Amino acid sequence: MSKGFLLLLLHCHLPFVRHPDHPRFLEEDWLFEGISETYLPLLRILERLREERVSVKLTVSISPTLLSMLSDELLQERYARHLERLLELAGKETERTRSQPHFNRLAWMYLDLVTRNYEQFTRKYGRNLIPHLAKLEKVGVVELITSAATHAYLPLLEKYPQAVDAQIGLAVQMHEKHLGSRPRGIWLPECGYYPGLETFLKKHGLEYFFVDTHGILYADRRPSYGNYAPIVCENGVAAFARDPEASRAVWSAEEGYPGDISYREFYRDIGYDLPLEYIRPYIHEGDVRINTGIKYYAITGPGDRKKPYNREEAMKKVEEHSENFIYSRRNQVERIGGLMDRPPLIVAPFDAELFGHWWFEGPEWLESLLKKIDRGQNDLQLTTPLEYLLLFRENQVATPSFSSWGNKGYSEVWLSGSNDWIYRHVHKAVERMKRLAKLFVSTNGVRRRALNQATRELLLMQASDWAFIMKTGTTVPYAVGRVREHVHNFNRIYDSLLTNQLDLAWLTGLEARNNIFPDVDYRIFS
Amino acid sequence: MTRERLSSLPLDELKIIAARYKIETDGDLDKDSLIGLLLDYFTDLREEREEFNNSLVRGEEKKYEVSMDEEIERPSQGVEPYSIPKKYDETQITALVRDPTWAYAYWEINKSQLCEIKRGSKFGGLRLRVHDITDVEYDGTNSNSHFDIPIKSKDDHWYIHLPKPGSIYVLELIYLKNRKPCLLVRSNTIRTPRGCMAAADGETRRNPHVDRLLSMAAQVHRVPYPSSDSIPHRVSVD
Repeated sequence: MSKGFLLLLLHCHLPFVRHPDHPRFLEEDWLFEGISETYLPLLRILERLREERVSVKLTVSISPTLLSMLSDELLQERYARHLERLLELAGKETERTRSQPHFNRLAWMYLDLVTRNYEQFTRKYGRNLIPHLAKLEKVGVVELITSAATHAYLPLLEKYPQAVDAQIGLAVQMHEKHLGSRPRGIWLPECGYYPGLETFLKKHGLEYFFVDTHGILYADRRPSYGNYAPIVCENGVAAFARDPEASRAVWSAEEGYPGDISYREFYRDIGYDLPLEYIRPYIHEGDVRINTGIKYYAITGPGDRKKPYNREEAMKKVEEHSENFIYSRRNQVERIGGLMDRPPLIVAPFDAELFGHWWFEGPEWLESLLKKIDRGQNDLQLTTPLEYLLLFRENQVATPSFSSWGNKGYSEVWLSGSNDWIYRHVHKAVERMKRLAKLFVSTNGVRRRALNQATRELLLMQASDWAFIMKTGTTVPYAVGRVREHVHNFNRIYDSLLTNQLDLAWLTGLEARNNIFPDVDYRIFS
Repeated sequence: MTRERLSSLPLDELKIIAARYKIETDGDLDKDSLIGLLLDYFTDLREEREEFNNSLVRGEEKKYEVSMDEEIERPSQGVEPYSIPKKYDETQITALVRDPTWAYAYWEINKSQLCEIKRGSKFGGLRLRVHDITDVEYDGTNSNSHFDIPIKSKDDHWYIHLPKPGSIYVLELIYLKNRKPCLLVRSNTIRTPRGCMAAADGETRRNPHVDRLLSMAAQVHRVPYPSSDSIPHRVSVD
């Protein structure tokens, strides 16, 4: 048996952003950047590794919200247009930099990247990534798990079991609908767990979930293996804990690999660097400069003076850093192994969007890591949650502590002065939804449509992203506007149903705009 | 927010933005100086946030960054306002756990009910009463202990510092009449996490190396490995 196991998890999620009323909308770029810089490169890498017969075992969680957007025809069309604009810009860049050989090589690199994305997305995948992800699960490369329906931060919904149940139940349904099989595990949004949550997980057939390190360290019983093995709740659902050492190597702004001076600098994008007259067609209307993804400088060090990005140097660092990660994990296993009567398990979960977007070289690092582990000694082996639980059927029974992976380990990120105002409205909407589901036990026609749309608005307002953004300050007006929009829409539907004065035209427009989960049934709240 | 973007806005709009963010300015400040002030403010704000956020949060927030230009809402931005109620005019109180020693409560008192209880001269004010009901079947009278937070009728939320982690609490909105407490409404029960490792038990002791293992895990996670199990401490999640 291996001396130690490594469980790599990538969590893929973006909030539902779809604005058909506008020809282009800034926040839709979250999705387009995610596809271009993370999802397509990762799929390419996993498919390539499969063809090269590299043994890969990766756990990938994909939120139902992201599944909805990836399968939405409008967003697929817009992404294709986005790529076409980028192709044009990348082509122009190869001309503009013709007299600067170093930058010109990089311009050709970007043109090649965008071309590959375009070919892959439009021809190979027919604009839909999802079936190709499902294929990777069928051939054993990935274990696909779900996350809450609209990525709600569940501890702050604890008072409303139906709301929690709806988030979990719908997630399982959507996962099966899009990917062809029921998920057996779940990535809790933000690792937000509270004792008792496992009841809902078990109800919907989920066998395991993930918590932050102290979720297990502070469990109701002292864990015999620390965070180096899962624990099992009284009802049999297993909890795996994030390993902080493995995470720090990648996540840490001070110590992590992404901060290496040879890697590409995120904030030197031509969307900001080049004159408006040149870049205007490729940024947003009103001359709102945006990231284009085309960047020519390396991190270099603190301060504004940056050296040109050197791809060969960066790739050497990728090799070094993947080697270092394995070396460090082997050391970890060596240190811990003697203190356990089974091989330690190191759980290393990451937001997928870190790879390729924030850390441009991230996907290549992952590829290098997977190859090295495959070629290496059997002292460190990749595993997935199900594989581990099959190998080790007996695990300590304990209930994790309420916990999250947010700053300070609990709910402060999602419950602070900047965002606490949300919950009064979200909770009231849940109460009202329950009332509606009770009043209209069975109905059809327009009323049913209204009830289902109310359910969508309720789910959309619950996305943890809004509170997160309000706290961290990236696009606060947008996040505030989204919560207000969904609360407003929900309340309008609620009032209309109670007074029997539904505005059909308005409802139809709303259904067309906020069309997440088309088959949702409001009775999940009954 | 970039200098270029701010430079494209008229001076009046810049002044409104400065006022919204409570940035102190002299009345006669020219446009360049005002832009400088705003940029400094946003840079400081960003650095403050970065300092607060752990690595995971800092990493996660990057996926929401597409432009540095829309950190602020322009006064003239055509975002359709969505009206939502300030209140729902129902008497209720909800408690949410934030961490081992902090809870958040929000509440509302129905307008007519508030008028009713304030009528006459015997009204002695409102209180938020916090009951420790750990290991108790609470019947309204038998909490282990309680403390009061005086509140005003315009207050509708509060962050409450709780005395003990790993405990169960319930909150009550009460008013004083003839100096006697009268219950308006009671909250849901909340349970705060212990915030530290549980005591060793038989199963843990079966692993002879468990202390070393847990000490190592705690060190890596940057939390103390306490000899006493009742010391709560902050988790450094990085």
